[in-house]
Amino acid sequence: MTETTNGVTKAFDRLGFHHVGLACTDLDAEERVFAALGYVREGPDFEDPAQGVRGRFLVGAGPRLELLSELPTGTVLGPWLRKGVKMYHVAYEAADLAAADIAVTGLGAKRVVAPVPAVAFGGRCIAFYMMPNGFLLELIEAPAVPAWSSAADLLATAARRAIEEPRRLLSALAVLDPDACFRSIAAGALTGLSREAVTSILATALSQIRPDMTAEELDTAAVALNAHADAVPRDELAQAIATLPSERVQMCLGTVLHAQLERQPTHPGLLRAAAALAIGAGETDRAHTLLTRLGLADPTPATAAFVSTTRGRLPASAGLQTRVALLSSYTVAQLTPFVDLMCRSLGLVPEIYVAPFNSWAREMVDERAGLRGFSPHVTFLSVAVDDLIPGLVGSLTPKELTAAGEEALGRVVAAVQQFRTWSREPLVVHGFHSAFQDPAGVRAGREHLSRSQWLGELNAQLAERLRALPSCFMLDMADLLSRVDSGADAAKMRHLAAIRLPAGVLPEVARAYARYIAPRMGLTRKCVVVDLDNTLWGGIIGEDGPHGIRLGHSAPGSEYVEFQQFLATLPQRGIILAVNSKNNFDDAIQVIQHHEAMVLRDDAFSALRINWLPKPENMVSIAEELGIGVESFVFVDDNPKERQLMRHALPQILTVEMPRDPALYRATLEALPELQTLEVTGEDRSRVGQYRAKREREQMRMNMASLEEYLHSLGVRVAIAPCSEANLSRVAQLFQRTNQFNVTTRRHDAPLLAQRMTDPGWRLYTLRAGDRFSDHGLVAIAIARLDVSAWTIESFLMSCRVISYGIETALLAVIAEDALAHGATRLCGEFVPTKKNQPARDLYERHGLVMRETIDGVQQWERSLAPVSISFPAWITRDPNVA
Amino acid sequence: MSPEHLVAKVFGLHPSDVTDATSNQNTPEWDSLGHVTLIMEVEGHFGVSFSTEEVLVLTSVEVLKRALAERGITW
Repeated sequence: MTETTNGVTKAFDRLGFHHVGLACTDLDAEERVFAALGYVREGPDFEDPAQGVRGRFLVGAGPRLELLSELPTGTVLGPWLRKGVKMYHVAYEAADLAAADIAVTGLGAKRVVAPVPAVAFGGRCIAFYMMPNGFLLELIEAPAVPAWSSAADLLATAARRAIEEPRRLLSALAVLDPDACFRSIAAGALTGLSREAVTSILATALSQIRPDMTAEELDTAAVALNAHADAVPRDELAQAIATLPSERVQMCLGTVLHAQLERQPTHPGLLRAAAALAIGAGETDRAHTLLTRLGLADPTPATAAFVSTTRGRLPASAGLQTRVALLSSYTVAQLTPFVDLMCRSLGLVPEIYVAPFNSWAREMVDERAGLRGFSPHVTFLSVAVDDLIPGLVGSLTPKELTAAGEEALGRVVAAVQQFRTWSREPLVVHGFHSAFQDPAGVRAGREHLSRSQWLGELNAQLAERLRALPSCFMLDMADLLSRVDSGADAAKMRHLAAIRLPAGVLPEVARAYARYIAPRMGLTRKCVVVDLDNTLWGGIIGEDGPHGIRLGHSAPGSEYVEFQQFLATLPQRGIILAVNSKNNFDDAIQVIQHHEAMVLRDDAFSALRINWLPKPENMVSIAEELGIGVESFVFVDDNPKERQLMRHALPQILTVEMPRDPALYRATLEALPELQTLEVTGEDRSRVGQYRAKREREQMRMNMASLEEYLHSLGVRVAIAPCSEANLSRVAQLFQRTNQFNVTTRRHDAPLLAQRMTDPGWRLYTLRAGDRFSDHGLVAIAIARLDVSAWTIESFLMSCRVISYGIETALLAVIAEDALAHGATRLCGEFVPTKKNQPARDLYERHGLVMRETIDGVQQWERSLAPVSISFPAWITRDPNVA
Repeated sequence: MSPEHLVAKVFGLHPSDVTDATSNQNTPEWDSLGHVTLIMEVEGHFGVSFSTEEVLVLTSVEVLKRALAERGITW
């Protein structure tokens, strides 16, 4: 029984861990501690008089614990407790306790408790041994192997576990048999589980996907993954796909991949997988697009290099060709993939010429050099001052520094002048920047110019010399470098790659290049069309009201002012502005014209579309009004749904992907290459005024059919009732406040109104209005003086919030109807012009009244009510329940 | 992501084609420019930094993995 194989006694073959024994004085106090760690009781307490202990089993995150305290008769725990040892034994189950007993004692262990039946284990035997190393071992007689009769019990237990804790069971299944796991998920095993739980199980299952899985197995996986599309872990999916042969992915997991990519369009792993798929399927254009998206989503040198190498193996994509030349005093190979990428993101197909190492001057001067034959559209020149003045790495006297600076400047300018003799195309020169700090340390600038001051002056001179030459631009490198955390990699890049730019700034440099390339290639857009709510101000005017929107000089609200200030500068570039917003025109125009913090007033916009029409429709009509194509537009809207609709309906429009945070609106548009111009002509600047005049003419031709349709769609409801005690104070308030839509601006007070309310010679009308969005309350009032043959409007006022709904027509129609019912045949109206009541000036004229005379500054208007009266607007319903 | 995966990512190879033996000697994409790109990717991914001297000898997957293991990196 003690024969060994490789030194392991066979008697221990089926040894199974059971528990760790803890010596305690108070079981309850002990349990509270472990309960806090998540342990729970496994069963009721037991008392074993043979051992003199009371015990309690706990199960939880770690091994099973046996808490033991001594019965009054007990003696076994005392020594451990006195020594302060808590964990004092470890117990294993042995299939053959007798054999194990012999084997253990054979190892030199001292039998402390000989095998004896134990209460805790239903009478199965236990034994204790002190091992030679001082380790107290307990052996428990293992239960008999379950007979067939109890297999049903086992299954029942497994089923119960599966119901209570499907997550653990499925995770285990995912590891053991991913296919079986996917099958049960496809069959709905995860229904009702939390998203986190589903994600975790899918992650485990995905990590088990192997290249040799059959198409059938992968199909099942696809069904399972699509059934939980919101919970699919995208990193794991991308990794799983990367391990599979691409035709397998195409066949089985393509739908999963595309569904996930739609949910997270900038996931690098998914984009990479999708690009590989498109390449495998020979979809060249799609592959190019996906590679561009991948590069933009993960702008690291590795991804940029991968994108550019992969592209190199593909047939060229269609698009406008652009030739870009890079001349430098250092290696720019790391930059090239980024320049390629940024050109692609503009829809261009770039050809990039990299001049041989450090041959920048010769390339610009020598007619036979490659640059001239290449005939670049845009040329970028990056000459490092550290290369031109090698002494900068050490110390230079002020005199040496000044002389070296002048010489360096002279060399660059001379080359640029030579370039200008044969090319008229834009040339962009990097501003000077140095990797080395002033050797004087903190004393820099104390005695003479510091290095940074000297560089600043040198750059100012460079800018001035370039200004004298046509189409020469300076790229402010200090600004670019300050925007990235260059950290340690600047030094590493210098030594390993001979590039004088930190890796982190490379995408920024390429983005800056794109801002010159876009205008050179004619990609500049002419008109920025903006939404209003949550774009030019925070909040929704129709809901928050003119005082509730966020727009002002402190946050929230200052972000929008900053954004508007930027938009206001665009006309300097010859770019015009327009509005395309779903709003009540009057609400919005009130804010645009009168909100104190509004930067862009009505005259800043060359066209306004503030209505409830679909935005693409408005876009087409703005294009017609301004006489430009929709491809000239940039569309700026905070609402992703509107953007999606616009991209779908009018893909020629550049619909900007706006950030959620309005604080970033400004930077987003500042960075747009399509809003850059290289030259601004006088004509560009006057374009704004021309468009504005055109807008005024075109507005006369507003489509009446669509206006009526719009009014119908609003579902305007009115309740017209006599003035009563209940609303007298509101009526008096409106008389005091209303300036604009007010025919006589008579400031009647409450006592006068109360008197007229009961006087049969007068009739006071009130109107409450609502539409299908909200109720507006009491918004209009009219007072009529009743004479036998004519009723005369003595006062008529209306809140500006409801102008242009036709509400005034509804009120006049009701007054006319009442007049007719009382035997009057004429309707008269009084009007007193003021500086402010322009909106009410055409009220009578629009309703068929004619001015007869003016008495003491009061215009007298009049019309007959027979045979034709004033008709009630078809788009308004009468509803006494309007609040 | 394992070092093999990073190598595959940087050079556009299939992960299963990258082994310990993959090096700048048998991989045309692994040129001097690619090497710097790879090292920067590895440094960024594992949050380590190699000196210029070390970088110049990390030219095979095997050596790269050993250097990472020496820094206590597992994957």
